[in-house]
Amino acid sequence: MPISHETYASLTLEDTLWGLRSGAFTAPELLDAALARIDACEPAVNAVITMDIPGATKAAGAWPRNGTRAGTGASLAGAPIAVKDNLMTRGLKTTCGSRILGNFVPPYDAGVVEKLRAAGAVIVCKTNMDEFAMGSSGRNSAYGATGNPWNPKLVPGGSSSGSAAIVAYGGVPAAIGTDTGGSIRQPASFCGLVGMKPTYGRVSRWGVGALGSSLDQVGPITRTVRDNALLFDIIAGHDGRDSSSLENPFVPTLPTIEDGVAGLRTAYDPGLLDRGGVHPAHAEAIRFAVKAIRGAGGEVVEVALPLVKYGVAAYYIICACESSANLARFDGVRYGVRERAGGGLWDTYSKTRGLGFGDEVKRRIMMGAYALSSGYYDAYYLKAARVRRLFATEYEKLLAGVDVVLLPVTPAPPRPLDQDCTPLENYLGDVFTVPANMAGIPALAFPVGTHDGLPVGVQAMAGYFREDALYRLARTIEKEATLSDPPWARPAPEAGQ
Amino acid sequence: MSGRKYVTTVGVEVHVELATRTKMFCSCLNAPQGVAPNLATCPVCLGLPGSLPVINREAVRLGIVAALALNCAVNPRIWFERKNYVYPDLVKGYQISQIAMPLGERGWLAIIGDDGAEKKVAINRVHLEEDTARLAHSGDNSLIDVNRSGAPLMEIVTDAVLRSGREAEEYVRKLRAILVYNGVSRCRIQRGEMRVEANVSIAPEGAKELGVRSEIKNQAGFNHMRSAVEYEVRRQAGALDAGGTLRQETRGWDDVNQRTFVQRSKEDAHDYRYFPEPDLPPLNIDPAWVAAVEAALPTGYEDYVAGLLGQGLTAADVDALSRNDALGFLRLAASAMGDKTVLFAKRLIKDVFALANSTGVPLDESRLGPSAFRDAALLLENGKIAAEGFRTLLDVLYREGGEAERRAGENQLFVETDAGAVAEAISKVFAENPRLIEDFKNGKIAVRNALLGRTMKAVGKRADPRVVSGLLDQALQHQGRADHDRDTRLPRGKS
Repeated sequence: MPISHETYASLTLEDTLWGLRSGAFTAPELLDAALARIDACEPAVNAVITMDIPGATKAAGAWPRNGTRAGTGASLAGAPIAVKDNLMTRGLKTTCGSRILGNFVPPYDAGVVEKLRAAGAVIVCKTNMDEFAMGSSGRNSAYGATGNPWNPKLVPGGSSSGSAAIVAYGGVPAAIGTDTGGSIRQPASFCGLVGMKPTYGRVSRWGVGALGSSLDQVGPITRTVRDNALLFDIIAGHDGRDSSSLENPFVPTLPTIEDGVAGLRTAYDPGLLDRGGVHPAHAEAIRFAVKAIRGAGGEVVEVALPLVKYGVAAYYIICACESSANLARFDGVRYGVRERAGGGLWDTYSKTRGLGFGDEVKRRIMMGAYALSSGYYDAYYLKAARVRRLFATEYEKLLAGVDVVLLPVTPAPPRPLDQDCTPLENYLGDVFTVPANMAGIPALAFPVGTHDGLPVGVQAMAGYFREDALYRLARTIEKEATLSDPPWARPAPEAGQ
Repeated sequence: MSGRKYVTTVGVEVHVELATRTKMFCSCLNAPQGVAPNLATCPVCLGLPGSLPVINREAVRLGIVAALALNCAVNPRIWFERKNYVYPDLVKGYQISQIAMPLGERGWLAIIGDDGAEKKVAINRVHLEEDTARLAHSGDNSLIDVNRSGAPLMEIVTDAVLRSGREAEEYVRKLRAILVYNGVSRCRIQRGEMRVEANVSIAPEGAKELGVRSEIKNQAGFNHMRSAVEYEVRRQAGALDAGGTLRQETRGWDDVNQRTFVQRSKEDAHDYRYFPEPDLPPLNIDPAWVAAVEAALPTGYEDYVAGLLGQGLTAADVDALSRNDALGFLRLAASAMGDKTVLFAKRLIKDVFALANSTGVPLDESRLGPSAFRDAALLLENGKIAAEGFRTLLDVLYREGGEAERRAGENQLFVETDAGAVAEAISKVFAENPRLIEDFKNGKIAVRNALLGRTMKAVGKRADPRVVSGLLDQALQHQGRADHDRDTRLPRGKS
């Protein structure tokens, strides 16, 4: 039975799968609703770089009714999913949000995309993002800024700006993002969503346009905690093509998600909330979560979070160094947009990169090349690498004593889309998200309520491979939280609002 | 020539392509023959966004073999770095290489020094990295072939301890022989599988510090390297004698004019901005693995050569084997040192090198492998094929490859063991040559050889001359007796 796009918009991933299996609607009907919703919302939000209507139609057509055909075990069969535009998709343009890859059609699928396709997902589109995942506003895209569906005059966060925005306006029930220093959690939080940054190595990086290779992880962005676990369970696992992929067996998280917080030890740093310019609503969100945990029979202790003030400085050195090398391959010769110049090869290189990269990308390439150069390496890269090792050991120590640490996702709520700030102001907004990337541990952002018409989230970090604990905790708090008037339950926003 | 005396110091860096089946960090074929440019590629060696490297274990094993053969310590935990520079042949804008913790360190290789005594050349490091794509220039155009991109490459660096072009040449020749012998690389210089660079400096005798060095890139051969080093020594001495100073620079070798020329001065030198490759976690080299590799190593090169001499091969034989890169081939063909080794060595020198000469294809470019050669030699040894057939078989194997038994069968080279067929041939020859038979009966014994020749021709290459000869003699005796017995039966069915 056809389904209206307004009804579709508020369906969770579990709802869509249930509806497909029960025969309430078919995958093509669901896709029609998704396309209608996306059409209605895109003019105001700009969450999408490339639609894949032929591919999605074909994928949906494979599941005409009763999503899981007997025996296939395809757990996402027929569900519309959006994928960030830095995950390679075979035969489908993949820009990484950059002009330099404006014509790049990869010949292969990312590991995560393979898993999604194998599970029967219908990949609807490639989502907008800060160029090469550099940014936390969604403004650094060569394809235009993305608006926040809660209030299109505000930023949606970034760099997975489009993946968060499209889930928030109900274009798809779930999307894939990448997180190098908060790029899943921060936009998820700004858009009232659940976003997981998994343990480093838990999800394959094969086919992910690299930013900071030692920090990058792929993860799901959804509206509910259960949806998030469901999708995480599908994309996680070993991939022999990624040498940093973990070989220890993956235990699915969804089966234990309703186990509650009894037996989980949660810590938070009250000092962090009082000092350090955390917005009162964000501090209040932590207190709300603490109360919910205690109310559900969980233990909460107070700790002092280590090293927080060193995180941003060390993170930006490591990330810039790695990305300066990762971006060296883009010269317009073998693929990508070539800007011809009369003076020969080296002029073509300069012009291609000069026009192809945005300001933030150039800034990071220069910072990274500088920090790695002879005479500066020890003072910058090496020192940052040592700080990073401290993060790993200190957080491992901390998480030996507790299961979960609660902290804010960001110090402040989203800024207006038209407000310019200095790069440093932007970088400092990552203060609470970079520790998990530095330590390689999993971290989950999830909403606990609304304040002044905007969602407010909290972040939980756990020890290596303890995504299950994060989901249990978040699921428990989610039951106490209400989000009033979320964009997925509203009519499509009007452009130019 | 010069008033002052100088001490020459040379250090040598050698790159060799490893003889693995696949590339260093992906599963594309390494140096495939007959594959069109840019087709032996994948997202990894094309440097496409999102691709990631995976270390080739076989390349690491060959690196360990080389490190052990060069008396190096194998580091128990190694890692790779990114070496950043921009060049059209470098698809990622960085090369995955090793700087801080190479696979092997602190080894040596013995040569005969300029003073005639044995000299242990200190080897500083043996490390693994990936090759670049190949560029071809024609006129204003440059073409790129990515097939070579990501091929496994090993760099072997000496300390600055060599004293002359001759020592440097001796070192590189010996190094090449050892690497080929151990199966690490085929080291075919004309194919770029071995590339040599020398760092040359001179300092006044007695000086405490080394002089300003120049780095001479990519010499095409051993002779070139020696000439380049010797030229460079003369050039530097001339400059210093004339009161000039030297600059640290990279120089190329101009073989036509027999001189070096400036390619790049130190001011233009790259800052490679090395940092640990985040896509590859450090690799633990299990000591048990190293022990297993060591246990599986062939006899040391020096011992092997000594063993050959001890078995009765001449120094000239060994030299011929060495010059044809056949010591490793021989070692693989004859697994244990013994009389078979000598036999195989002689067959190699006599028959295989003759093929190399007549076809113009050196052994290591041919399709003949050690095991096929061994099988062919054993077929001859066991009388399954004749000498003539053996040469034909080698020729087929050399040009077309394949297994010895199968090729011998296809080409009908097995000796005729069916005495019946030989006997039939004999009776046919007897019937066609009554005059000769008559002559024989009349005591002209010499016609036997003519009869043998005709019989051999009738039977073909498959005939073992010894068998035919024996049966012919029996038949001739019967001919003699037949006069007495009136029995014209010929022997049948007995081999």
